[in-house]
Amino acid sequence: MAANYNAAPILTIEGLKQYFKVSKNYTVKAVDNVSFKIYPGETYGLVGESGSGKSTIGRSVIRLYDPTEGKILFNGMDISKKISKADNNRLRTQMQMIFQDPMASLNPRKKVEDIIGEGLDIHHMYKTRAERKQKIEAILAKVGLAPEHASRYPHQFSGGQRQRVGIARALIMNPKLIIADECISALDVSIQAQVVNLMKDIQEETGAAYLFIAHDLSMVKYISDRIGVLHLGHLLETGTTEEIFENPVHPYTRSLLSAIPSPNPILEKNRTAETYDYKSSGLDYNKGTDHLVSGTHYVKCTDEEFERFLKR
Amino acid sequence: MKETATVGTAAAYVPVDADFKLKDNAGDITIDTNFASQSFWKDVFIRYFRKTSAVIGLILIILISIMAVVGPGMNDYTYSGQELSQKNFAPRVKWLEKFGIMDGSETMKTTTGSMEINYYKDKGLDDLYYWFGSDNFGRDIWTRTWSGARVSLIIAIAAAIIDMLIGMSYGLISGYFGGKVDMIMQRILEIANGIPRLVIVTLLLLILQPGMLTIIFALMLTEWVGMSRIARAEMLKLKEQEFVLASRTLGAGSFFIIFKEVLPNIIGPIITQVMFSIPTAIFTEAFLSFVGLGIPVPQCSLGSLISEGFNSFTTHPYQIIPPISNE
Repeated sequence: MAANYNAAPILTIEGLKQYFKVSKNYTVKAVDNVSFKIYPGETYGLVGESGSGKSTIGRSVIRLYDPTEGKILFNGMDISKKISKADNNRLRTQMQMIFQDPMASLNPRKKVEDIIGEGLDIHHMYKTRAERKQKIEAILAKVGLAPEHASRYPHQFSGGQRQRVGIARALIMNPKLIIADECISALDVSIQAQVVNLMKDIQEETGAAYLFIAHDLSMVKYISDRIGVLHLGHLLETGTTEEIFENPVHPYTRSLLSAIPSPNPILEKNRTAETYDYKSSGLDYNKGTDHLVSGTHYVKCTDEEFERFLKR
Repeated sequence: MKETATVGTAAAYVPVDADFKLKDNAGDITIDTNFASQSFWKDVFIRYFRKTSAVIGLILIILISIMAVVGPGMNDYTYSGQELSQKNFAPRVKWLEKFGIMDGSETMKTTTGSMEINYYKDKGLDDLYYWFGSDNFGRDIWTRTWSGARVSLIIAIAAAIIDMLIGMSYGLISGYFGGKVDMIMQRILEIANGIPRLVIVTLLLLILQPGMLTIIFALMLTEWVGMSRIARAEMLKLKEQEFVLASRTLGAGSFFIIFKEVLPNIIGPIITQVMFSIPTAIFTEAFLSFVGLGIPVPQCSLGSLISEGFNSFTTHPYQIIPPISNE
């Protein structure tokens, strides 16, 4: 199932702010005024350097944090404020998260079947033990593990297998949106491909949307339909993967993309990585507004900055 | 010569498509027998019984527990029955006296020399057997040791339960919720821990009767502090782990996370702490007996037996050996 842009977006974020108060006169603005939409069945990639607020957005969306300001609409319900119990149950089943570190995200004292079945247990989604077992075995087969793996502990698996268990835990709830928080960063390169391909297959089969958070641009290019570029908590540029990669407008995006090594040695020899420094660039993210470049391609900057960017 | 020839032919080999297909990529590739999946308890069982010292400890504990139940009923004496004419008798056991040990004789050392005396023979009591001897009031030490063990075991179990119920829950909850909850709970704990035990116990003396309930009450006041500290520290360490976050994203409630996700991961330090708090509790009981709040006489505990036996330790060492070895 491909992305469906005619349907209502599954997730709408408007002006999301996530501040962390460190002390009386110092507040970390981890996410500042970020807006984007995710449509059913699509993959939205969030890229940016470390500390840019990618993971914080993911965690605010799934409500591990309480957003400071802004609106998060998920599947028609507002989840940015206090959530009612019924809405919370819907949120916890329909939105799932795959975590970064497959070593830390599985409880070492629980068997795989109990880790995967935890969501079922919490939401009472089965009638008999046999039904639970059968559901777990089906999901294990889907992520490429054998039924007998169910009775093992996480430490008996390799990194790639553990991440599959993490994916299975998210999938068993049949979620509409999966937040993949750097879910391949901790894996070996060969296993990264395995896991990303598995995620693609699953998306085709179930039609789930992904919020794919990563810093590996080539991976993001491979899996994402649309991309958002994040820097210092601001969403600087967003558009389809082609739009961003063919025509990067914002100097930060240009510097990010110019850092991707090319497999062609002749091109690689002539590749120059653009440097970008926020302080010396003279840009002020706080003053920027969204400017349409073309299609769905938006850049956040002021009017004169926009003209300057386009002249290049 | 021959080797170079093989290398030469290998180099000439032209790979075919079939070389790049995975072999046996059927269902059985996912089945590996390296880890025969074992149940948790089976694993625990095997590991435990591989360790000799652990097994010996287990056997001793079971033995003492059984004797604490049946021991006092094994002869006709009661723990309080006094026979002042039969005080300080040495141990005498029917079958062992033939071999010259535990035949009721003891060596008395004085400043002028030593002599062997046997009260049983001296008084003509041939049919009398005190298995562990008798004490200063002519009470049977066997019966008193096992009924004392009973008291001490009850206190040990009570201490473990207090540690687990109050201390562990207090620490886990304080650590998990953090912030203001943690702040208030920790201040309460510090106040409870800051008052010297002797003061609390003396005040308790005003309102409570000496006995088992008072001991358990006194233990409840402060015994759990150490455990709650450890539980809180472990909780602080684990609560930001990703598997706890994962549980939250699945919609797990706080108590599910505390007791089902975190607790199994910290059970090691918790058990160690319980083991440390049991001897402390037993000594607390001995201390309470000393200030008059413990087990009232003529009832006894291992602690009070030791402190009684200690008075005649140099002259009648047999009176202190059974309670000490039980302890």
